[in-house]
Amino acid sequence: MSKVAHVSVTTEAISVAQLSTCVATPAAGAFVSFSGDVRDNDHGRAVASLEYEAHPSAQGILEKVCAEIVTRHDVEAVAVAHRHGPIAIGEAALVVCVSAKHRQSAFAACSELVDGVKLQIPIWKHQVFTDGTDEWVNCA
Amino acid sequence: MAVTVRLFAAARSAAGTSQVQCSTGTLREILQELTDSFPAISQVLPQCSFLVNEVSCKDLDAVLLDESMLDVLPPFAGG
Repeated sequence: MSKVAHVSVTTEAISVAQLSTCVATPAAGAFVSFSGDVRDNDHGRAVASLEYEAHPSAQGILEKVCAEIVTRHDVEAVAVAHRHGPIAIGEAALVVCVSAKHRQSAFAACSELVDGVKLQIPIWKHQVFTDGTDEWVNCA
Repeated sequence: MAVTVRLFAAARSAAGTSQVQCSTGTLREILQELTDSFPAISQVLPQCSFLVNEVSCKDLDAVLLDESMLDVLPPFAGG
């Protein structure tokens, strides 16, 4: 199994349940997952709907971020999926799963991968509020 | 002689279009042409990063030749 077990930028629904199978291995004693779900509020305002947009290079850049992280952490495998297009409140937009022999490496790699996604992947978030206004997040 | 400019996210919203043709010239000149065509994009451009033919470009004096592609990328907000 490659240490980068799965990378996808997809319009399909994603979940920890689905990605966890990609990193499962008898060699791992620790499994850490993160699910970034769409909230119904942001900065105290009620969010009605949300849509992500991905640049065509997003998949390739996400693969590079993962390849770099597995060289710096003692992990068995990582898997990541970022969804784009319209996403309903409560559904996952980002899922990260990591398996490792020990918990410290699994927690660290998972946390760094989530941070790396936010900083480096060309994906944008557009949210519409219940009062009818809208915004591109980080672009006020 | 033209550069294809692809606008994403907030840049696209401000311009009301996802793709435009601009004259060849420096990145600075092309951004000025975009601002002249779409005044609302002036609010977004100062925050944007740029790809020229899919490679990051931070030099406003870089010259974009005929048939180049410029991508205008607002601040990322994934995750």
